[in-house]
Amino acid sequence: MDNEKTCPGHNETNLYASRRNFLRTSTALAALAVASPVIVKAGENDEKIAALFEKMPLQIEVNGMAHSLSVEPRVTLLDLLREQLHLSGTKKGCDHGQCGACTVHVNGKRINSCLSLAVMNEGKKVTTIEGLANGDKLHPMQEAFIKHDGFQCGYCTPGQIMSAVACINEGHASNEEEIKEFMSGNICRCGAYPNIVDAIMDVKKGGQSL
Amino acid sequence: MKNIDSYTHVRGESVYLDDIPVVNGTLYAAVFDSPVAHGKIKSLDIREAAAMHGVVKIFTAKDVPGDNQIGGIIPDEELLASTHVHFCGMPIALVVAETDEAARVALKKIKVVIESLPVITDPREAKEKGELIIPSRTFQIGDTINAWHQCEYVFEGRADTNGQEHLYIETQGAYSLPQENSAIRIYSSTQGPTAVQRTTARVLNIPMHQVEVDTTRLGGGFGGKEDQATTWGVMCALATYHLKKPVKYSLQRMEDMRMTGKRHPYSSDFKIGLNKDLKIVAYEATFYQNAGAAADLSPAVMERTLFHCTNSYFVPNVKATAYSCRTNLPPNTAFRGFGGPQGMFVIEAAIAKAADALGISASVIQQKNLLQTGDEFPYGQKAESEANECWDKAVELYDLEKLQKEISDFNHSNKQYKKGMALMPICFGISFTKTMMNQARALVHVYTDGSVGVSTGAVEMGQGVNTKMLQVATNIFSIDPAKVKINSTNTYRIANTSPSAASATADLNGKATEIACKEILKRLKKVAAEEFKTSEENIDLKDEWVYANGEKTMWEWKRLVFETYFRRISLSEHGHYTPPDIHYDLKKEKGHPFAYHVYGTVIITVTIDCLRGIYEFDSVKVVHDFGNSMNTIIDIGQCEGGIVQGIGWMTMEEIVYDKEGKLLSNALSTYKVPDIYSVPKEIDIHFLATQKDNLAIFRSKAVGEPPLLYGIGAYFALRNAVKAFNPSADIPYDAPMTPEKVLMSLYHPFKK
Amino acid sequence: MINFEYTRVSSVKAAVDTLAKNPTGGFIAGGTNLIDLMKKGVTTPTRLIDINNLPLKDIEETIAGLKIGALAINSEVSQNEIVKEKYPLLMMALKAGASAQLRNMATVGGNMMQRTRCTYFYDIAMPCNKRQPGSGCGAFQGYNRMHAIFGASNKCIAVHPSDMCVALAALNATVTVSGPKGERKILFTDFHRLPGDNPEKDNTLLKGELITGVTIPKNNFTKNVYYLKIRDRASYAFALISVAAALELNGNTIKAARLAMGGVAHKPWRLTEAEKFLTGKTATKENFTKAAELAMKGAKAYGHNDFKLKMGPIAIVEALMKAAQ
Repeated sequence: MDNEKTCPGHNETNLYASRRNFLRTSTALAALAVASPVIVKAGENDEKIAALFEKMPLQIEVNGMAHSLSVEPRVTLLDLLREQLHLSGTKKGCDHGQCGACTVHVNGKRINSCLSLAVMNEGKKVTTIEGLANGDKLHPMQEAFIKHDGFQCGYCTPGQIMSAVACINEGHASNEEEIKEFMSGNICRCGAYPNIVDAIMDVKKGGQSL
Repeated sequence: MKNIDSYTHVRGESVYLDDIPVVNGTLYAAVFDSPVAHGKIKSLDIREAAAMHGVVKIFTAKDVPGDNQIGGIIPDEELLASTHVHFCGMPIALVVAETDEAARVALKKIKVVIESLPVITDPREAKEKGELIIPSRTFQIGDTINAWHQCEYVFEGRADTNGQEHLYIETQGAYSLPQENSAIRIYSSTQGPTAVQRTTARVLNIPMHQVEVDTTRLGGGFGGKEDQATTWGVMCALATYHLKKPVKYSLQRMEDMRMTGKRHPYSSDFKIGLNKDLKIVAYEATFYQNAGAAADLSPAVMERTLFHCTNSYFVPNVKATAYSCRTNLPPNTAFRGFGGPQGMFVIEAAIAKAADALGISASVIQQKNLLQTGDEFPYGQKAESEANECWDKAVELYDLEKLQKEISDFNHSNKQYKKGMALMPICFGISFTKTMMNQARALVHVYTDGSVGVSTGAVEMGQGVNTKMLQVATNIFSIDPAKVKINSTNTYRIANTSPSAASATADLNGKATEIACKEILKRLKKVAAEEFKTSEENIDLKDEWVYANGEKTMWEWKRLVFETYFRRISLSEHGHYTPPDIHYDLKKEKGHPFAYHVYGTVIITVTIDCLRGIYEFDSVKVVHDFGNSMNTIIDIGQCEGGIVQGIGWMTMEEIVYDKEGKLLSNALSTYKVPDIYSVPKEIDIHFLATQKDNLAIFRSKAVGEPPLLYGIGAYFALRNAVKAFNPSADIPYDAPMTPEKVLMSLYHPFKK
Repeated sequence: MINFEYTRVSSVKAAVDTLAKNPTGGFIAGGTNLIDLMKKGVTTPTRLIDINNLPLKDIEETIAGLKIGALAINSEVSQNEIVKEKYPLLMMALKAGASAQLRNMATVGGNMMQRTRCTYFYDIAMPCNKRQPGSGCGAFQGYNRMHAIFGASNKCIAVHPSDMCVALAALNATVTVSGPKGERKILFTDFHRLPGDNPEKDNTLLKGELITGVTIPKNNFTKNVYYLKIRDRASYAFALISVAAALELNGNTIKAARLAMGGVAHKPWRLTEAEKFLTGKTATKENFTKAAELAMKGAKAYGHNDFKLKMGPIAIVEALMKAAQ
């Protein structure tokens, strides 16, 4: 069958061969393989037999928009956002959860999207930097970052802002010490930290709901 | 003016290399690099890899149509290894595939057999074995042979600094696309678009006019993308050349750390002599620069080490010799400071050693020897000094005496915690040390609707240069900033650019922009003068209105522009600038290489937890010579950011290679860059207001590199705190001063 | 990352059964360590069994003590009112780990299962007996500043990087697991192994077993507790050394003491001799210092981590002093 697309891992040649064999010899299952995958909500029919699908169906809401996608299990949420949904605001700094540049909100909680598989976010609501502003009207945190010059090269900025919004929503911004502790998962090589802290303190003082 | 990228930064709309939408048919590249630091390639088997699903082609040295050479200063660095490898991470093959995943899987199937050769990682060992990149260079002034007789006190010692990983949060990358007639466009995350263009042309054996390099911005550069971005741009271009397809390569973090060079580690010997008045009479230093396996920018870095070997002091008798030593590590490269910090560290170590021995504070010696205007540097240039002004202002403004008392009182009454303080005066020369590179050009278009487009050779990497360029244009034309657009840096628009480096970017490109805008302004004024029947001197443009003889006319900016166009007068200008008066004689090692110097003084205090060896920087108090800052927000940001990076270099950032030349600190988890806590609790920056004229743009002095030098003070503050706990601690001058080095020094001698 | 198959399950039985049918597969919960390892090619499961829907998220007080489901999220556990009030040592340890983002993703079970961060383990081109039995130990004579000073073998000197586990070891927790042969309980201090001759085995889970929860017995360590973590920078880094200290004080006399260290061994290192020494003694610096000396008996360093021999006793004393306040 010529529908294998991407390349398997270095120890995967066996798996590949056995999968082909399996499909060839098992016509009943082959019929199941070509049937269009039924979109399944989380909770229903949980035991999904993924063996026969290269890609999994995925229902996910991103910045208020519902998506019905088809993804390989190995795709991270970060790569899904950037490569499939073309939302390039979330950045890849290290791809290993060590810099925070990929921070997004999933169901309101901040996570490192580089260490989350897309398929594990079935039915969840994701907010990225692109989802903060309301058209031209900036989110209070975005405005504060501008006011306090909370960036230089700007690469870590989307992650910093997403983290900062969550930091306040989590109730972890009562003072400078706490802000530092709870923003410590976001690295800024340009060293704009003092201004970032100022921006967050400003928003916290303002007391707006985020 | 706020950073013009503010809006797009906070919305995630700033476009970096990896954000450029890829066109249909784009292929993905990945480099297969040497697992061994030195050896002869016996065999390279790419057959299995080439047969992998999705792989289009694998290129090796034999596929290079032109010169397999990317060395800029010295042609000693192959793009793809042909017969030998010289460092772990040296590219051997380039895999191009339909997806990034496919390329990376194929990498694992490439089989190479390398016959190991001896590995050198230590620069002194390299020098012993005659492995030098270039012949050594010596700067001299006065007579260091006899000057020692005049010295009451003479001290000798050794001082070592380690490298520093750039860790730009945006990794290296490039994306090349085929154009008509075999031309190539390369989007490159580079500080030096011309370097990418020139090297691509050489490697592919095509004329430079066939290669377009475009850079919008960088997610951090710090020198790491000055020369070393060239490799990836050329790799992609090589693939595009052969395959006539778009090819993209965005490096993964660990491969970036593994394959690229870093700040040069240095191992140095010093000898310092003072007279009884504590004046430094003589100073000798020998620098062993760890250049890595190829020249890259090492000769220029070495040169700057020599230029800054006396830091902010006047020393009448100096002999400084530097060796650029070839080792089997990735070729080390530019990093903010460019050899200057490494040179300055040594003389500060020498002063600290003298102070320790004499039982006085190092600041006494520092202050006594600060440069005065008219003093001569070892390389012949005469100082236009602000050294004393900055020092005296800092002492007064921050009440040094009070600070010193607070610290000694604290140390007196505390056992578990000790405080340490150090002053660090800085003096940094602004210009490329290679005179020829001090040139820049700008292209300004005023469109018929009154909007203005500015293109320069400057690359925006967070230093705010684009904002400064915009300020120049809006200032000269006196128009709303919203009317001016700063374009990407593109070799078709501005040719033969120097890299955005040496802190000189705003100066050189700003002046070129100024020249171009002023020329257009002259033409506009001539048109208005004719219209309003007066002379050009009586025409003014103010807030988008034309004023004649002091009176506001009916002509606003748009009308003036249109009238000029209507008269068939050009609304575009290409400006060219080179700083006057700079020159250098390489044979004599004398000249006037710097347009000006930047001065400053920092007082830095640290508290050590003597139980654990961990520490916190309490305060950094700076008096800095910004000249007449054209953008205080941006300049403060550069100052704070530079200080944090300098502190990182001197304290927590430690690069570790093993004896075989393999990088062990190869991820963000093993190489620690300053986190949010690393910022000193208090940072005070005072702008030394000088009305002196200088060659800076709008008299706003260069600010990219100088603040990093303040970080050197962090090292000595730590030393002083350790000595407060353990006065007999014999601490080698060996940066970085990591918490465990502090711990070991606190309890030195340490029994296992 | 390699391609793998993916299954979502919603019951413990389904999870165990699916793993039994796919022996080269593995469970995935938060994924913060597993995905990292898979990206590096260190772990290559052919199937991931997503257990995030299992009903194992609860944190509840029972007569036995505090029962925490294996899927309870680290940040949620650290913010739980009961944990804050009655098991503050656990809260402190959790808060000291990773970053806010990672704590929002990581589960209790995953935290226990996380692998060492040794450079040689992580680099598939380097010798590592844990990753590839028989290939040697690169850290032994290599760069070993993050490595063990207790309980190592000449096959492996790696450390377990968790903060949470140090607290759970100090609090004598019990782990409940479910497998093909049914449910069983393992003492937390028996869950992780010493490397011995088989460093490839981090813990005592049998083939096909799934952690379902952790129970902390009721205790009186509600006030005088402290989790000390010493690391390269003030945040977001693994411990060079950490100490979990818990004291039950009667005036200034120690009724009961718990001490465990992290970053020093292949498993959280309980300092039972020091605990015994301290029981019945007064909470003074002298006694803490003597206890620390006892605790460090048998410590052995490997070159780059010599400083841990100095830092260890200092850290123990400081943790105890802070706990006693």
